[in-house]
Amino acid sequence: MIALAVIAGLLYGAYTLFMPEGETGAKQITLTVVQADGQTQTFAIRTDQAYLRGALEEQKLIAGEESDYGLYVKTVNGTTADEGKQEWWCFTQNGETLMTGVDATPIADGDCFEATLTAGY
Amino acid sequence: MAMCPAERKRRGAVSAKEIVTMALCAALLLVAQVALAPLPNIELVSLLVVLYTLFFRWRTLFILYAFVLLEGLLYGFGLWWINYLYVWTALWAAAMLLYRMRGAAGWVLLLAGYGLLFGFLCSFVYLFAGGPKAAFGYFISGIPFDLAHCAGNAVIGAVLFRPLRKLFTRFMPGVS
Repeated sequence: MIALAVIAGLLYGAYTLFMPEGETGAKQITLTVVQADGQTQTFAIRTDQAYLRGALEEQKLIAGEESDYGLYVKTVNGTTADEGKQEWWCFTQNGETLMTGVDATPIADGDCFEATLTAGY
Repeated sequence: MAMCPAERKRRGAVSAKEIVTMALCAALLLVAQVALAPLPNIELVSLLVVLYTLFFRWRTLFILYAFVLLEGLLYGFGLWWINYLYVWTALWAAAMLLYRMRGAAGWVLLLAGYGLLFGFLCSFVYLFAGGPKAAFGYFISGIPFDLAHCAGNAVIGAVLFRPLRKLFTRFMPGVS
């Protein structure tokens, strides 16, 4: 029981220590939207938001469903993922898959993100 | 030549009745997972895996991998599915090591500890798929869910372990 409590405490400490936090303030980021057929469109976004969700919602670039894990993005730039075809929007930063949802992804000036319509879970 | 039940048991053979029972157990795992899927990290699968291990021992692996296959067919065979190939087996292995433990408290602690380490276990896949940074990011961002998983497993174990073990003992006396 004590060992369990200690591990839980250590995990919480690691979370508060290492989980990146966003900061508000003027910044510019880019979002490249990649459609299923490979067509791309890049948006330069000026924002004061601290997290990716806020920046993309300001521009009305994303929409989706609220969940306990944050916003589940279903639509990007007007294109809705077809769940019947196992489509989903994969968010990456400089090509690397994000390990956080759009709610918890902090943004900094000059960041480049990509949203790729991906088929297959 | 047909084997007598004693010889079959000695050789570790699986009877037709056991195969049907294990198929039903795999289906129950799937139903339990799907039914509680909307609740973040509140699940019955861990508890059922532990209980199955107490009754089926090594044959639990048949149930586990039938369940994992069904999950893949239902949700698609993504990276998460690679996790499923070993995370439930890790719990099975822990339960096998501890299967002589009689009191429920120890099993509740095992379930809680497993919930706490679930994200850590899953992060290994991302170590190979995306490198150490991706694995660490996955693990850290999932800690709140691991804490919820730990609490959920502890509550579910404390409430359901004893009654379900009694139920299993009553309806599957010949299995263990």
